[in-house]
Amino acid sequence: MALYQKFLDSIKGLKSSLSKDPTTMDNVSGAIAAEFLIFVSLILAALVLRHVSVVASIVVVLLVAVLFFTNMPLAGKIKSEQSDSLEKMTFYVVIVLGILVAVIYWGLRYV
Amino acid sequence: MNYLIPLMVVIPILAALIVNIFGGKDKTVKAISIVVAIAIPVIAIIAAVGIQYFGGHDPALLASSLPSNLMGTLVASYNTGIVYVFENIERIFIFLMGIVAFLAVLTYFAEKKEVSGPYLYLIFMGIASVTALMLSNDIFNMYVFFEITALTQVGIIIASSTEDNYEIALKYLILGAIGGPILLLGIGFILGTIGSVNINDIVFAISNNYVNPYAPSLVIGFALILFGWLYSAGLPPFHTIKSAVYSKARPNGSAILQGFSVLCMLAFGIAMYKIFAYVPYFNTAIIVFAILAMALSIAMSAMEVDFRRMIAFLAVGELGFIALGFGIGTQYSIAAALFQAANEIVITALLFIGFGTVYYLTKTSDTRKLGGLIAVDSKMAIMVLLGGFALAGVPPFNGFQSKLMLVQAALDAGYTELAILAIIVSVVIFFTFVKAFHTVYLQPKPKDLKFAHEKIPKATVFSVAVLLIICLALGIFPNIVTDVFIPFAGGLI
Repeated sequence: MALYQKFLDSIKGLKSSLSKDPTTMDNVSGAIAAEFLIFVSLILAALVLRHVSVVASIVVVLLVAVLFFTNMPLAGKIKSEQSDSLEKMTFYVVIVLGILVAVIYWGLRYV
Repeated sequence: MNYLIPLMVVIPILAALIVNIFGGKDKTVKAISIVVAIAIPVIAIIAAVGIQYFGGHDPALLASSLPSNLMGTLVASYNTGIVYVFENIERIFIFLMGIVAFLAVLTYFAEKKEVSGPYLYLIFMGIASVTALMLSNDIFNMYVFFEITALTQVGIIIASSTEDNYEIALKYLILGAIGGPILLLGIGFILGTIGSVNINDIVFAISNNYVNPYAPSLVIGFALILFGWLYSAGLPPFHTIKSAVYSKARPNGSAILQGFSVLCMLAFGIAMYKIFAYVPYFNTAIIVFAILAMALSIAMSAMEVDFRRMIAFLAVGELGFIALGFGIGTQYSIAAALFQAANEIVITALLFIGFGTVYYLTKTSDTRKLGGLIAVDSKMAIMVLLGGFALAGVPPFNGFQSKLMLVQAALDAGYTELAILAIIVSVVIFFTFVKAFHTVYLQPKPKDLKFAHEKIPKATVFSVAVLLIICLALGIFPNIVTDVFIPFAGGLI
């Protein structure tokens, strides 16, 4: 009986630990789709650079591929960066503003 | 004088004030709201194409009465008052927004017995603002109405009484406190350089070399206005807060909010295109944000377990398609972008209202707690599924036609990568939607799932059906709108 109780308790423990984990087949398939989408988007975005410079495009494609394979999975990291946290949202808003102004203002001087 | 043009703005403002005054009297408020909501698209259809010079400031008449020393100068050609331009493109978008607003108001009345005067005030004020934004040919006037739109968006979230709505509204206000003033600062730089905020005057001054097109003040003005455009549209880095905004409003409110965002994006996008298309790498800058919007938002939607947030991310991702069309920068791609914008107003409204019925029935939007809802109302489930097909670009719906146009335009312009990306993103949209649909409607109903309501109101079913019919009609007869968009895009480039 004690053995049976132990077995039952271990099953209950396993069940409760599983129920805390939100991972389901839907989550996994969604995360894999997101991972592929991010990878493909990065590579295709890098390929668009060929309209500016073919050499730059090749270098960036290789860089993106190396960075991706050394940092995957990216989907989870990107999800955590895109939370509803005001700090993160403000950070990215300010960063984009800075990049836009810098690239457009100083970049156009050399065009 | 075509008085129907200003009336498109005046009537919803008056309606907003009146429904707020009669806040406690439900029948009166409902009657006024329905009449005005019908009147807006009707006026958009019957109004003749024309120009409205506020205060009678017709530049052609004023030019002849100017002192001799001003004759023939740049100033002589300037518009001295606010100008509204109403063409067929404005007709289409104001009509579609009016239809969505009418159906959203109808759904609101069906789902909520005691109507809120302030909520309706915000809806009508928002409609007036985006209509003015579409009509105005003056970037400062556009900014003013955009800020009113942004405030009404915040108000609609607060008045929605959903979970965490105050927090998201406050965050949107804080981020708007960065985006709004930056946009105004950009407009200020333009005004300081050219001396006018009228778009035609600015274009005339730049194209005739009255000012240096690469003057630092103009270039910095472009950078700031581009940033403001990202804020107004909800493109990255504002995509997270925009999707949160959509997901925290009532479903009928979300349908209206996304329409506002599309119109804001279009109005500023067209203005920016008219003024700054000569800037090197202008198109590249827009393409970068289009790719970011599509990749980030759709990836986020694929991982989302809250269906309202998932649709919100899909809606923001679809904005990326519109931006992509503008970024490619050919006549056909811009026409495709405009078509995509028209489609998004309708399709996303359908999905917000349609999927909103799940929230109405169960008071939850967590897909892990839902299932088996096809048994409650199979007709609604099928209409939502078809709406999802339209969003993903499945024939014969409108989404297919606009995305096909976009892919063809990308291939014609030599952007093969962007065509492939557009197709891949559409595939992921399809996957995400079908996954959510299966979870909510087809998987076995959880035992602990409780219902707040037993049936979906008929008015909601009617609203979704009308939107679906529009999707189908635009899919089978795309030339209803493309015959307007293609010549307009030709004039833009």
